[in-house]
Amino acid sequence: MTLAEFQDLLDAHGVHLSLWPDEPRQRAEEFLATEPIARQRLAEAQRFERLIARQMNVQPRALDASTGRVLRALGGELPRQRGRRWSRLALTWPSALLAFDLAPARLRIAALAGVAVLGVALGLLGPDVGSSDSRLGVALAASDVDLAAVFEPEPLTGVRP
Amino acid sequence: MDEASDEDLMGRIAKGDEPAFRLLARRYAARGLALARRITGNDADAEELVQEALLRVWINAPRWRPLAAFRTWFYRVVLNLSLSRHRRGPFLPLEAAGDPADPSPDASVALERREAERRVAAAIAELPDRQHAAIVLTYQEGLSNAEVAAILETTVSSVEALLVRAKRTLRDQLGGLADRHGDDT
Repeated sequence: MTLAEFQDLLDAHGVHLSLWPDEPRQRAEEFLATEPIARQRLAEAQRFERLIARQMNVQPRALDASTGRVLRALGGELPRQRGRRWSRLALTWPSALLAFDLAPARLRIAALAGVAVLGVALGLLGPDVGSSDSRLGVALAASDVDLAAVFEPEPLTGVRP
Repeated sequence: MDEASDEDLMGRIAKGDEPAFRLLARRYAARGLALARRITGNDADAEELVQEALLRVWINAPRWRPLAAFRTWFYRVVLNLSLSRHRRGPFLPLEAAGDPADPSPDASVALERREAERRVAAAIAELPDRQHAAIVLTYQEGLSNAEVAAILETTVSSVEALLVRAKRTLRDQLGGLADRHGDDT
């Protein structure tokens, strides 16, 4: 291990070697045991970390007042939450459907279903009135009106009807 | 309910439990303020951001999934809001401490120490955003590199690299300050 590598490990993992990952810790301990300069670097790093940590742990007097203001501001009515109504509906819709009371409308639903069945039956079994109906074909053939001429342009002006 | 875990409280908040939300807010308001204040350098901004972060907790609780610790998620929200605010405006380094003036014979020592703390605070504040955040989360919040990585949404090795670069810069800027004040208690 080089001194630069040791310094990087100190910076990356901190000065408490017991918290380091096993592999670099073992190598660092061997390095510390043999290199006085490594022990000096460790002592410097410990002083440096104490300086940083002490500054970081200074709490301003105003922090308590700020905390109070934030909590008071949240003390009033809270806004509506997002996603709660839909997630609740997603979880409860099967039981909601099962619990739906059809009793008051049972007769009307039966009548509606009967009409629907009748409509389907008539559609399948009733008289065929499609375009291939022979009576309709005869009626068109007998007509004097030339349908194609209706859509022809005016011979003189070229204007379409 | 006071002993309930953060995650239990979030479960109740997801169902619209307002007392559970107010308890969680009391737990985290001061921590969020300390973090936001350190990043933005401004008390008023910090209050506004933490209030917004806590409201986001309430509003989005029904959609929250406990994939990470609540603390990690909350710090990430506060940090992202703070960094966003910090980028929009100039940073004003805060006074290091709010201690009253000391009339004792050791006043000059106290004054010197406060000056040292002010220099440290200014040097940390001048770090690039992510290095700044890594230092604050490590030394102010006492988080592990893995927790810092989760908050910064990066890898542990990236956090280690951020810390290495940040400490090199701080050592260069603060010179022998650690030698003179690193042993102070």
